Amino acid sequence: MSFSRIPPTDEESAHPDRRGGKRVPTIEPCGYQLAHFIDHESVEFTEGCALTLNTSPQGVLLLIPHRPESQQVFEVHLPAPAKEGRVVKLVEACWTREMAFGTEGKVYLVGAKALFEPRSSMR
Amino acid sequence: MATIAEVNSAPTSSEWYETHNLPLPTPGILVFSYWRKLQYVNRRACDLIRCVNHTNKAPGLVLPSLLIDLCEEIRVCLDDRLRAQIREPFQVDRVVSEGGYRLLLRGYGQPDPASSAPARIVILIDEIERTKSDALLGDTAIA
Repeated sequence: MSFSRIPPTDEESAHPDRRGGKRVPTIEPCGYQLAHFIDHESVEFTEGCALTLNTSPQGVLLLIPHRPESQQVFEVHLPAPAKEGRVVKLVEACWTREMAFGTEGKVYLVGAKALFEPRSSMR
Repeated sequence: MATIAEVNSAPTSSEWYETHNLPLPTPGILVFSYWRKLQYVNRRACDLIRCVNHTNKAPGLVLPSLLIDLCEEIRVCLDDRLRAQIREPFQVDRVVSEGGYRLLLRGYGQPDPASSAPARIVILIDEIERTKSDALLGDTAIA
């Protein structure tokens, strides 16, 4: 497996769009859903499983098989803290890095900023 | 009126999930930019909209006026709050009955705390129940 260049660490000069806050290594499977608008008249959904690599209150680092567009808003389903159900979060893709994954093709490192967390209105 | 077309799969109501003994799905989610451009919609929102608009024979997925009206209402609130330098998020709830469905619409105005990025509007759609009346109730609460 060949790796793409990893983004700079906190000690190095950071891009102003990078999320702040302490990042906690959290490697867990999660679901995602992307919506791709075609010609302003149709929408195509892409959904599946991804992997969180670290999380912070401001965002999440994902390993995901589909590449979101820059600043694309999408949905991530994270495991709930109490291991009951799941937490749905809306995030925005801040940056992506393509990574070759053996013979299976490509996966993408995606730095995503947390936008919104819907709370369930029903039990 | 914005029109989007579902490329794959048929609409699925909450009744379908209950019939098949499956957990209810997440709410329908729509995200609009401050200029009312649709930035994200999930499959559940498309399903609910198509269930509500089942009498609409036009091709594609048409955003109901009740969603567009709520989006505009939130945008007006955003303008008022930004003028008053109030940058906290706020919520507008509305219960509507349309197309045989009773829906809870939760609209959120999301000013960006950094103030450098434009605000966003998020609308969540939850199915409460199926009804027999198509009357629009329009109960609104602002929090």
